[in-house]
Amino acid sequence: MFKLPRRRPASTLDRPQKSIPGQQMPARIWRWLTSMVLRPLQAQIWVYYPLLWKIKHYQPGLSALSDQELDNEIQSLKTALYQRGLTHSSVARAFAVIREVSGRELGMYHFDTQLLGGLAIIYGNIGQMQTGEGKTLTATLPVATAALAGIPSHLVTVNDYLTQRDAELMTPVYQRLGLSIGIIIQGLPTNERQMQYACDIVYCTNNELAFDYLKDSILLKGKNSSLNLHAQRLLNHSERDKPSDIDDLMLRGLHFAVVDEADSVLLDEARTPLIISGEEAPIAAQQEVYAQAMALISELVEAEDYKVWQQRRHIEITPSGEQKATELTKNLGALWKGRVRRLELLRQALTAWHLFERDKHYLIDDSTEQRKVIIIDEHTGRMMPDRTWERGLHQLIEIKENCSLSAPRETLASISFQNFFRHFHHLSGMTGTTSHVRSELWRVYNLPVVDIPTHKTSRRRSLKYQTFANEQQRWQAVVSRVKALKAQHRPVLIGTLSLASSEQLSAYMQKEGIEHQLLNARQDKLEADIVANAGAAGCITIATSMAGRGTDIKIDETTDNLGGLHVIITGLHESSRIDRQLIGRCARQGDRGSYELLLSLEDPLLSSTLSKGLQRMFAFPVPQPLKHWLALMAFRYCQSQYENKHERARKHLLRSDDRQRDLLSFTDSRV
Amino acid sequence: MSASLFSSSWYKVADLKVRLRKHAHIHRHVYREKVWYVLQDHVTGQFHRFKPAAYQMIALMDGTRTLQQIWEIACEELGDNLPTQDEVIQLVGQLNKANVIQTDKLPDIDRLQKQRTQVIRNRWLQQIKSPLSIRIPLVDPEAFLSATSLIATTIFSRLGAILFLFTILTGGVLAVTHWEPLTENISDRLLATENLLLMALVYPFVKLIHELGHAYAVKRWGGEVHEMGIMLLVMFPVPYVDASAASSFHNKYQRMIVGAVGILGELLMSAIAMIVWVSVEPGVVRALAFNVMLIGGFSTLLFNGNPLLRFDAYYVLADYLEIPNLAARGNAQVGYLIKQYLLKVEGLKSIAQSRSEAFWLGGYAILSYIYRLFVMVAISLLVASKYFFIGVLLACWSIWSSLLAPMTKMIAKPVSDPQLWHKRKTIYLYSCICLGLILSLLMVIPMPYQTYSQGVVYIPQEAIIRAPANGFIEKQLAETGSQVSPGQPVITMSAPDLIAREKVLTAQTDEARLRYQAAINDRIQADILSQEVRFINNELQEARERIQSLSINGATNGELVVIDRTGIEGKYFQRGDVLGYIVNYRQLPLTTVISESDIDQVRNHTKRVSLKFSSSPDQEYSAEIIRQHPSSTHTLPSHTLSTDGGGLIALAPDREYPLQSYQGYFRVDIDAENAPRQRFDERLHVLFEHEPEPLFWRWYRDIRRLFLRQFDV
Repeated sequence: MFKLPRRRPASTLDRPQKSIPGQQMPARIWRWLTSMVLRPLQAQIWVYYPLLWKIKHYQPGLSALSDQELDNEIQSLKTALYQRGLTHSSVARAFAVIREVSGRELGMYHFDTQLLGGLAIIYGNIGQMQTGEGKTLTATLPVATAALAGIPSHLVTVNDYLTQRDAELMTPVYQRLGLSIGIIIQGLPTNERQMQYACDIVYCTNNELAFDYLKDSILLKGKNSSLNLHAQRLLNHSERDKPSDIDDLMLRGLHFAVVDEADSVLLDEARTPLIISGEEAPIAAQQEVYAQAMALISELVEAEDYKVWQQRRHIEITPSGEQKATELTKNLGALWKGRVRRLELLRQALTAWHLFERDKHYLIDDSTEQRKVIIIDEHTGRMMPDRTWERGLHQLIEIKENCSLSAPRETLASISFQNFFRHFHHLSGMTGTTSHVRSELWRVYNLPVVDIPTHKTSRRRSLKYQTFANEQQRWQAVVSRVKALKAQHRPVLIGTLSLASSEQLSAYMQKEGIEHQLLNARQDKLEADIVANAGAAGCITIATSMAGRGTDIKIDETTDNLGGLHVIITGLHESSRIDRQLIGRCARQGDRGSYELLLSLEDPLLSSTLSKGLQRMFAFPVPQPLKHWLALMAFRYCQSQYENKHERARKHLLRSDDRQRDLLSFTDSRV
Repeated sequence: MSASLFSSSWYKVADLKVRLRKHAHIHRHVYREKVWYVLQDHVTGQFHRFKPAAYQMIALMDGTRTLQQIWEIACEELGDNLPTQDEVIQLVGQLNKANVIQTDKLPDIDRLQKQRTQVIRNRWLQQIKSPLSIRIPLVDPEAFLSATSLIATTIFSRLGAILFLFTILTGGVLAVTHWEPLTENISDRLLATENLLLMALVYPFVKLIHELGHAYAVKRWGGEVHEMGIMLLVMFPVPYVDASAASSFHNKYQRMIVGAVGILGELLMSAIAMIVWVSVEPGVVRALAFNVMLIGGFSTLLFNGNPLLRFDAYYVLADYLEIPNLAARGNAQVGYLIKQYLLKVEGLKSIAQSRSEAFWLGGYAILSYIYRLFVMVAISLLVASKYFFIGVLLACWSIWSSLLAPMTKMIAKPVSDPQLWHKRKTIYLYSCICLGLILSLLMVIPMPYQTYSQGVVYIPQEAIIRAPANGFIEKQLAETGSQVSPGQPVITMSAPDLIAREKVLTAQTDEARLRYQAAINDRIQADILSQEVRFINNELQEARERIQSLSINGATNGELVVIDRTGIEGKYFQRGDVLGYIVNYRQLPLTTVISESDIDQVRNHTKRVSLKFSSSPDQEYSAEIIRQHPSSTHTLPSHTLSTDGGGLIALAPDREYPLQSYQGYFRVDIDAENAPRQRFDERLHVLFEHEPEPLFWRWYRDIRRLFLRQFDV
């Protein structure tokens, strides 16, 4: 409780990392008990006020200093932190100095709320700050403080764009403090990465960080202890000219990480394992089998031979289907022998056919001469060109979409974010949306959530919510709504559920002759331009959930006077937090702004029974407000069902990971 | 069903070269006509059973092939039942946990260390979880057993078997022929203090021989025994040996003998003791022999011979049925049955390999569960009667572990088991129905409620004929059994001393009267003598009355019963002795006594009273309360009700008068119009019927009363 980051040996050979505590019964009960007392106590914002006062107390003295004296002050602070490590009072002093430096270098003095946020973060909490409260600036406080104390710190963001933007924005502060800053983005070569990771502060994305960790782990296979590594180094020393694996290690251990958009990184993405694959190894027989499987599914009859559970995303093969499969595959070769293998192939083929939709789960990239299936990330709406589905699913979808077959890759290492981030000795984060997941954050990561008050009161207005019987009506309503807003010259951001629906809406707009810009996985190269434009008067932007976390749509004074950015939500995501992030694009930092929901009963989120029931009810003369309210409640209910389902899945994954780790203790690889 | 062939963790193990360690041996066994391979780890003494498919893979683990190669070979050879990658990982993990494999890679030392501490902690937890049987290992008897292994080869031989059978037969025959003296008054002999002491001395020896029997049997067929110690069974120390090495024996009869040898040994000891008991004179040796017989017989019947408890007979049964690990797999089978048929979860595989095995597994699990529950409750009650608090704790623990824990596990299961998640509504529904049924049975549905007590047909004072004076019975005027009416002479007594005394007194009266007349002149003297005359006269009068009363008349209507069936004529009785009764069977009063805890119900909530005579237990008569004595008393109306007279009420050990009870009772007189009284002092079984009431409130009252009495709260 109230633990501060500690300095540990930081080199690519020592690599300190926390061992993951087990999830056995006693540990779980202890977590549960502490969640009653410790968590609420640590999560109280007033606990951090005394330190805030102390920081304020330093301020007059610091602002009176000349630039030279401030440099001296920084030096003496650094010495003190190196000598005694982080203490409560030294944290206050460091914060005050960093605030002063930031004010002088950037002209931005941290607000009280940002100081509180920084305190919450350095004490190992998740700071819940409303969207637009300046998380980038807040994060400088804990990160720089830890770095001044000699603790390598990672600031983890969700995409390269944010990484680069934040790092470049804050570089002057760090430079003045005498701290080096590293930036890790996609496509950086290994030796560059080593240099960047050697810096005091590293800005990186969660994917890059975890992948680099995995790459290191592959090099470390069989050399898990640091003694082992040192021995290896000595050995290399004697044979100087021979290049060695351990020279390629990048990370210096997992010391302190501040995770931006913590809920997204730590929870939403926690279920997708990160996988490093080896070389492609095409097997002709395998590819033939996939083609056969895809051909076979036309022989099977839905509902009779197999059942499709859309909500559970599961295919169930009935006994009659099993029998049919046995007969059909009698002469198809050796790979169809064996019941388990046979059924699995068929199930995968059926899954590819029924449960994966083009432009929702994946898109076809035909920009190059080879058509390629590219996965769309369900949370961020971005393309994931490096990712492939496992166990032949990717190949089967390629067959479905008539692409040339990619060869299955061999897994070399894999880890899930849940496991990766628990290895950090000191973990903290910040985000705007943690409702519903606080208990999970505590249970899994031991992270309490501290509510940071807003600096300025929010001027965001919720307009109305409307539900329409079908998609057609909904799009029409959206278009007419946009027309009206356009007449007022207000900028509008329209959030859509999937790539397909964003393009559909774009087509409607085109037909109506409304000028607009489109932001989705296909347009990801233009992202920065689109976002920069989106706040201009009368600009209409259609976006998928890509325009969510971290997208800062700046509006000027004239648009602010018109009423600011207006957000139209056309469909609810499985996680309400994604919706709220989208809403959070408007009315930032005390600006004006508004949002509304225009939903359709054909939304896939709504379960079929509820949807049908509501359709039927809409046929009766029910008062409009009641109708809309009931529909919204139904949406919320389904959304919470999905959220619960995902939470359960994560819990289950965590447990089975633990069990698996126990079981696999005889292997020499940790990941 | 949803099992996938490939595992996402496979890449971690694909390149491993695994080798079975040297200290692990594999034995081929046949269980229920199927081949199994039993892997024995000589270091930890553990056993693991594998199917041929798994064995085939284990056999391929020779340190030269990688797991990937092994899996590919297995896939080619095993066809339809090829193992999935997860199953292979599971297998290797299991072998690794058992510490019987070696790989070519350095394992995760931290994790291994963690596992070790986990194992040690689990062992402790296991002890805490079953407080009724705690094992304390003490010695490794292997060296001693090896040195004396000659004993094993001698005993477990053909000659040994013949001798054994002969002794058992002799002992059995002797036991049958001496059954009467053997079992006579057994509970008193058993529980006498000096006998308990003897038993405590004999018990460890008998059990030690029992356990050595197991050890030598294991030794006989080449096994090793490395653990011997003391088990605290319900706080009572009992020696035990770890005979698990027997699991490696191919022959199931050898395994059965290892299990059964304890029982057989005790039977042998009993037989020898029987022979000794018959042939020696009463004394210490005979008492010892008696105790050996008792322990051998009793403990065999109650514990070791009962396959439902996890003692010797259980292992014998499991070996006989060729179902190792019968209990655990039985429970799993019950879980499977519930999932399959009650919850209709699809895609499950039965644990049993065949129908008959399924039958045995399910049947055993259910039977042993019921029996264990019964034993636990019995033990808790027994302990509670001595140490109330510990008993209540034990009872709570046993209720929790056998009833509530499985239930909560069942309710919590869907949260952790994704297979059951879709069935959670059904599970919750069934659990709610079960719980609702139990609760309504306890709290809502009224159950018939009765209070039972023993009563007696007693004789009113006026019907008792007592001797009016000391003397001999001269003549019984009415026949025994004949009807007598009031005033009718029944018995005449002769009291020669009374007649003599009358004569003396007559003479003294005369003398006194004469002396009075002579003292006519002396007034003072005359007064004194007059007083004397009156006094002697009174005495004479009394003597005469007594002589008069020597002819006894009937006081009431009824049948004459004299106390001695052989006749009382000519016998001497002291004044006040009972000579007989004039019993009017039709009007004999009935009474019963009610304990203080039951009186409230009887007094205020009685709906109906019925009674039975102990002489005709089939016939029930309805009765009514005619009189309730308002205060409790310690005086019993009849000897019949006390424990000495075969009743239920304990008499006070420090009693000041003959029929003083230990606790206070309320006397309730009842009457049954049409009930024919055939005997006086006959025991009655009286049932007071109350308003039907749910069980819970009754228990609540009982417990409340208990707490009031024990803790004053």
